[in-house]
Amino acid sequence: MTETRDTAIVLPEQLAGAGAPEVAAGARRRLPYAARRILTGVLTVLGVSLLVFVMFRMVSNPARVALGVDATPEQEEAFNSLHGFDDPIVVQFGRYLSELVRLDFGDSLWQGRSTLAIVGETIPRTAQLVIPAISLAFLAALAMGTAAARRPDGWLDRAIVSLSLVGVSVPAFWSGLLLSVIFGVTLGWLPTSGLGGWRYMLLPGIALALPHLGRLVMITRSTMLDELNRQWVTAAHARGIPEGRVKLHAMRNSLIPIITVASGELTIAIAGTAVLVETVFAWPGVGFTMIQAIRQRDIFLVQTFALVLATLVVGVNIAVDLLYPRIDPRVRLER
Amino acid sequence: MTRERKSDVRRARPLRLIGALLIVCLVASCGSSDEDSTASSGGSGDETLAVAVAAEPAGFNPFIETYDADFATQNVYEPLVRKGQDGELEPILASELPTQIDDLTWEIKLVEGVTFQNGEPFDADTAVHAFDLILNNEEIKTESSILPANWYTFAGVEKIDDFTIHVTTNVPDPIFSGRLERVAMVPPEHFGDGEGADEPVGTGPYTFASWERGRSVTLERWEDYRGDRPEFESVEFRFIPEGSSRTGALLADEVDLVLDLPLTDAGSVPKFEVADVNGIGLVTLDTSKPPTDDVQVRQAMSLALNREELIDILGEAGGTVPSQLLDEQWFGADESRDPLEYDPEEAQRLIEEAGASGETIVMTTTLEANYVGGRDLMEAIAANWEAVGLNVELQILSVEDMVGVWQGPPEQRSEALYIQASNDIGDADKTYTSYYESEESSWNDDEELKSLVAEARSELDEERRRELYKQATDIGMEQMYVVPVILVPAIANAMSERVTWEPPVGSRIFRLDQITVD
Repeated sequence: MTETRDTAIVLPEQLAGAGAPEVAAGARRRLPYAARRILTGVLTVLGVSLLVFVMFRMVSNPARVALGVDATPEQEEAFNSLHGFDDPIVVQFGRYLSELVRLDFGDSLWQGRSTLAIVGETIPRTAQLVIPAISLAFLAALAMGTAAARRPDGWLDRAIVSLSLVGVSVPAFWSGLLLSVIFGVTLGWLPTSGLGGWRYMLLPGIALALPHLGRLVMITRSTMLDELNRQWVTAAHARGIPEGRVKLHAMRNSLIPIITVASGELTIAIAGTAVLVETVFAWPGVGFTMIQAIRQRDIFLVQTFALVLATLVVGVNIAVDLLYPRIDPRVRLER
Repeated sequence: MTRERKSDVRRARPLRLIGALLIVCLVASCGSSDEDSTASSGGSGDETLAVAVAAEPAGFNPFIETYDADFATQNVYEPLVRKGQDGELEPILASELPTQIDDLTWEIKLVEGVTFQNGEPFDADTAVHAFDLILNNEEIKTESSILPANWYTFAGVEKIDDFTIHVTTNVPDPIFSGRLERVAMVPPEHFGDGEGADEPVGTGPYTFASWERGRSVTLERWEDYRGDRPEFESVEFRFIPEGSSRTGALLADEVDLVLDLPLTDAGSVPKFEVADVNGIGLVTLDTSKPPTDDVQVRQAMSLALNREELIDILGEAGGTVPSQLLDEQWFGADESRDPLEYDPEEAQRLIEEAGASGETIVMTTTLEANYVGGRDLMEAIAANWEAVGLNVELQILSVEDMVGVWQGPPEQRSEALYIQASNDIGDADKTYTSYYESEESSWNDDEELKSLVAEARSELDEERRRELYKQATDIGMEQMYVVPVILVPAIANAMSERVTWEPPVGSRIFRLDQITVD
């Protein structure tokens, strides 16, 4: 669910005679650019929906799962007719699109209520887990990556790189189970599963953050190393500018690739890692509920989840693209 | 000066972003604090119980949902009759067991003076309403998985007086009373055509207090229950689909009881019990194509199975070597039969004699249905057959695709198909109909066997019925159309030390009155 970016970074030397008129022209261009990105985003979301729609119908038979092995052929026929599964797939997709236009996302086969209501209940729960986890991972990665880049191959760098590799390598479901056994079962400090306040969030939050923290530390370290090897850093040191101030400038210049990776991590966390972590910790968010929906072959609920998740992923990508010039004024959003 | 100030502002941008992220974190964690779970934890007091269940049911319509919803429906609703702890049927909302007044009609007398938890009276109109739902409600007819398995013989219902009804069947039905165990008595006004299904109101010992979707269901003691005072003031059922997480919750003392524990985790929990009721793992063989069209090959496939070793795979929960396709507890089983023997030399000789050495057997199954033993068991069966000269390929499919192979057109069948089958009523009819007689799901064309099973289904004389099933068993085992593999425990629960579960005989229905706490 990722998409390519068509953002071009325009360096200062290319901005001949940068001044007020250019800025105004940039502002004029920004709206069409945003509109273009939103349009391609909508097409991406529709493409994902079509793919999920067709594939799920090709590989599943909801009647057999819903009715069990003792169901009669008449029952199956009635079930398929009731839910419109006996129509040609083109007719079904047409009906789906026309209902989408009316914001009717259909009722869940499994729970018998609006799929949008179910998705609406689960998104805040997942956000409650993912946003703090990824935000803290981002902040920790900035600190750890910068500290590691300070003395490459020093003991701190080696320790941080090793820890990051562990974070990246250990699958989230396994680290989740391990945390649950240590802090829930053995020490009894924290609950092993369920939804609740901060105590319930800690273990799934850590399990969710670890792999993303690892990747973010690696990218922060490498971009900071690149930046600190530039000539302007040597010049700044020669002029006696304090180390901390130089680092701050270097970090600002490094933020673009870090934020690009962080936005990718956020979408992977929502649509990927959270599925595993929520299942292990019985946290009834998007991933947990989506797994149940797939097990129940609840076509309508899976479709709504796919649509909403695709929209979220595309939305985060567009938002980050539009955020670049705010972070680094050298960036211009062009074709 | 102006330039410097501008640069300060720019420098502040990343810091602002970082600050904003910190605020988001704080808001998100604070926002959740008001949702802090206040659920009773395991061990928090004798009058509450926390139970982990694997799946959240789609709803609580007792005519549609079965096992997933039992934890609530079986404690809130009551049927007319059901099996007691000893496995014998006993009247609950009927005043006595149903009596047959002619081949097709059963009379049921109801208890008097019972009211529902919402004050609606229980009488013949209530019972007629429940049977009417089964017979005429479109949603139930379309979506109920109980109806085709259990209630397909029901034909009509009639109120005789305020506390007597007659139920008719479309064929003489010797196991009519057993089919009533899942006919819940629901209050007609509240339940309607199913509108009140998700807020169950019954005559049972517990009331349905709340349902937090995705999290839990809570039942509370009904103080006005006419029978023994229910043991628990409140019982919370938490949905934890991941098996190891359910085990973790029990070990961390967050729950007192885990329903449907994965048998592989039996060794790691404080206490573990299996119900005294079995399902049967079986392999149905396609008799229309080689090499399984040859009775020698089919017999060899049974003789090749080292069932004791297969049972070891199941770990602590164990299993039993079958003597036929039925558990000996089920009506119709031939108790004189010995457990099936293991004789690989004879199996190899039969395979060679049939010229089937090196022939390929594709065995279809699924790993999605939580079959006891899972893939390990499938691979062990395949290894047993390969050891006597067959070549075996496992075909692991989704549940619906497996059912498609099983019940679909004959040309789509594989040579073999592994299923674990349950038998709630405990009567040979269900198993023999599915695997020996039905046009859709049996893979043989033995007319004599099919007519025996069909005749037994409507035979009212118990002895004659037993005899018919004995004859069917003789043919079935001689021809080995279906290979019985192992008898497996149908349900297994784990619990903390303070909890005792007394599983009923011959039933997999879970009720809270089976639980006591020290």
